[in-house]
Amino acid sequence: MNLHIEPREGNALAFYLDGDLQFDTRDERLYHESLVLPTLSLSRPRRVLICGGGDGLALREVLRFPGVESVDLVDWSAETLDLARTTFAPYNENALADPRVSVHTGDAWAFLEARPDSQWDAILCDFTVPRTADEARVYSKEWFARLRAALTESGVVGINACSPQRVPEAFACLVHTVAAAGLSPVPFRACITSFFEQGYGIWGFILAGRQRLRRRDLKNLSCPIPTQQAELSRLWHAAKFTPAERQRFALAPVQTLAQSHYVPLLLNPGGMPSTGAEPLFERLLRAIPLLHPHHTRTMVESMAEQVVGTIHTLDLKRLTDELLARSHRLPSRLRAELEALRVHLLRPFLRLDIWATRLFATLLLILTLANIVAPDNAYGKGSSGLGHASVSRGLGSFGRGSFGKGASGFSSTTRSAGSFTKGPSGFASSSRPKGGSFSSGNIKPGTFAPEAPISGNGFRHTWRQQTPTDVFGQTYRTRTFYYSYHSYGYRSGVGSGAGQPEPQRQPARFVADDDMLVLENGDVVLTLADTVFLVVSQGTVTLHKDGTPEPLLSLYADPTLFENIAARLRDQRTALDAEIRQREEWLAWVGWTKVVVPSVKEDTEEVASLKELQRRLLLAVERIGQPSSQTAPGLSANDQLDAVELCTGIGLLRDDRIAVLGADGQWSYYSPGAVPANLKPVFAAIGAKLVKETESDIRGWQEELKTLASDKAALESDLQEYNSLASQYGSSYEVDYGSATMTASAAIDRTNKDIADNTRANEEALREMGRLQRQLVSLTALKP
Amino acid sequence: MSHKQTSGCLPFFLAAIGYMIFSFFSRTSVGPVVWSVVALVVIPALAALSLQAGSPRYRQTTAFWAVLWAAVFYTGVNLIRLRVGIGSGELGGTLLASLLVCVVYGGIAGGVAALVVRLRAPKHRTGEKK
Repeated sequence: MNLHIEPREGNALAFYLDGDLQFDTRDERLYHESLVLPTLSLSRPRRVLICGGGDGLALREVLRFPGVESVDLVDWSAETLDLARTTFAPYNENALADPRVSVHTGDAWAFLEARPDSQWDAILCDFTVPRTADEARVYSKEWFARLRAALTESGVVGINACSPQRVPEAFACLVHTVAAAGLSPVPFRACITSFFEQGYGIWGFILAGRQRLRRRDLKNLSCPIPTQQAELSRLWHAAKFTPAERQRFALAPVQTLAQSHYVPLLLNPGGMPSTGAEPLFERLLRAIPLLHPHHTRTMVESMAEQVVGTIHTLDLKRLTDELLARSHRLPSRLRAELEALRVHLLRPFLRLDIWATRLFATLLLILTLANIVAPDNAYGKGSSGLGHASVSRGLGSFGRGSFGKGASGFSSTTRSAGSFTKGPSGFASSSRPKGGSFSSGNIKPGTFAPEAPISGNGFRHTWRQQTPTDVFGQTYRTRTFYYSYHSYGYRSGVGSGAGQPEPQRQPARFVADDDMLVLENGDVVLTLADTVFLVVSQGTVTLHKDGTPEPLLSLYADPTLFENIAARLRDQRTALDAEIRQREEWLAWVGWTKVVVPSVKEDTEEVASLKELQRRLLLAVERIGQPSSQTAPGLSANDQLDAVELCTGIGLLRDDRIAVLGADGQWSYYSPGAVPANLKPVFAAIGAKLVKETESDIRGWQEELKTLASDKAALESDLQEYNSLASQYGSSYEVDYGSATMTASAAIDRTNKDIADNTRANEEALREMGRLQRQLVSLTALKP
Repeated sequence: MSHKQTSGCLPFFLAAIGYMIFSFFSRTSVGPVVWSVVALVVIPALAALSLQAGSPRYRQTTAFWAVLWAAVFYTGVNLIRLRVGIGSGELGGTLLASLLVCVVYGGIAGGVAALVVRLRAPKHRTGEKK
């Protein structure tokens, strides 16, 4: 024990025990009068016991009180008792020498245990503030129970407590403990100046009676001796506590010998940690109680951080798994806690409760799936398809670029190249132009496979405004056709004039192909030039010119042409089926949002438009009908050579004559000077268009020849290099061939093969160029 | 009273698996009624029933969010799958409609899951504490 006496101003001194201020002589009367006089005033004692208080200052006050016959002072500190007899004697007025006083040096608990019950009228507990659980024994329920037993029936205990201001939980614990021991406590406060300056706060005492003691008893307190510092008349006010504080007294833990709550509460001002917005770790740190007076909060936090650091190095998941594997003997509640810990440890991998993580995971998943479904669309790489050079040369049958949208209306800028089959009309396949006007052979069923779905907005916005639209949703310039099916001056085997409708104006509604249109009434029109067209309807094919409703010619109805047109329309209808199904599925999900999202409303209208187009295509297939003719006579073998098909049923022969296959299946020949006046401009217009297309094709082949020449030069250079490497390092030397690696001899073989292929392609291109140039010469003969 | 707190992963994955299987059927083929019952009631309810431990409030919240996210994934993935095949239309409107649908369907499915948990929770026994 460390005793320290510190001189103060004047003759004053302060006494410290283990660093704690015990009293300052300048205001010690305030403390001791507050502790002693109310107790004695309430009990009017003859016999008094003082536990602790070895300094003799409380004894002084007791001895002042009238009626006191004997006082037992028990203190285990002999040093303090010595000081009381010497240094503190002037302050305690040499109280220990009073004949009424019996001083016992030893443990108060043992002293009391050795004494019979009902010995004292008043007991004063003037212990120092406990620092350990052992020291806190004299603040336990058992101790107070022993005091209760030692008291006479009307006895009162005065207890030096702690600060209800600094450590309210500890003060409440003490009040509750006293009550739990069967005493009737009345707590009160006193402001001890020196304690306050020391930082101890407003001090607290407890009066506890064996009989019921109430706060109002303090109001009527009558002290027979004057006080020097304490103001007992105001004690009643000092004993007033708020309802919240009184509730805290009732809810506070009870200090017992088995369970020490008092010391931890003393050491941890503020009591249990708050559950506010403090970070979790801060709350955890505050939850660790200080159990030793030499520990500080900083020390505990530092140690806890070390522990946390150590824990972080552990594989907690594995540890938990191991514990769970061995947990069959543990209580079920503990196993449940371990399970919960294991779930918690797994959570960082699936933190679905964190918004940022959820959002990130959602986007990641959606983008991943979207990229799997449609790589180009998901990452905005642009639409797929049209980048290959061959498309620009018109090698694809139905590329989107093949729909002419220029000023010429429906004229094509590129031509189809996949349809050089022998046409039933008798023109040899080799003689038919690559870019010829619409012929039966140019339409191949089953080849309609759009690379891109409907991407235009034609069916969303303009379809209902009678604007021609193709199957991709692209719109075209409106064009109206004025025609009738028959001519009274023309005797045809089909389409007799009797009962036929009058000439009609029909707008184009659907662009089925480069030059094939479906009209409003379901008739199919094949455009041959800007002003010339064929009408395919009800098993007939008639040639028309703008401005003249009557057909110029009724041509042979080639069954293959009809089959191919019908097949093409059916193909497109099938393609529309898929588009409609997809949109209907989409609308099944989002259809109800059309009331707030205009785009969805347009989706709905688009589906309606597509369904209407389907009906129109079906109508068109029915409308074109089937021709009655089965076979047609072919041209003579001589005529077939170098004949150019202007359109189905019309050809330009080598000798510049024009052959026309009529609806009756009979060939008619027109020499250049004998072409009827009304047909001359028609053939000229068809020819002019073909000239343009042929010239375009020639330019394409010229580009192709340039590419082939460039490729050949590169191949020859490569071959030279491979040969050089083979001769230098041997034929098994590994060389790069494109992105592959192979031996030099294999690379030489492959390169030679490539050069041979290139040469063949070059020869084919030259042949085609020559044919086109001859065709071009022939077509110039049609110029008016 | 302490409750064992279980993760929301189980109902989420159960719902996700349910939705994944249900995705094999197109919405138009099963019809709106069957689709609504399965996607918005049956799957959320089954997923919610997998939550056994935890306080009722915790289970409700967990079931709500787990099923909501599963439904959002299901809806979102299906909408993306459908939309990438449709070239026409306006991007902004499409995104808005998709977002709206995801939120609404997810909210309904999550709400149903939470409701199932609530209906399944045992009522408090009076007089337990004396």
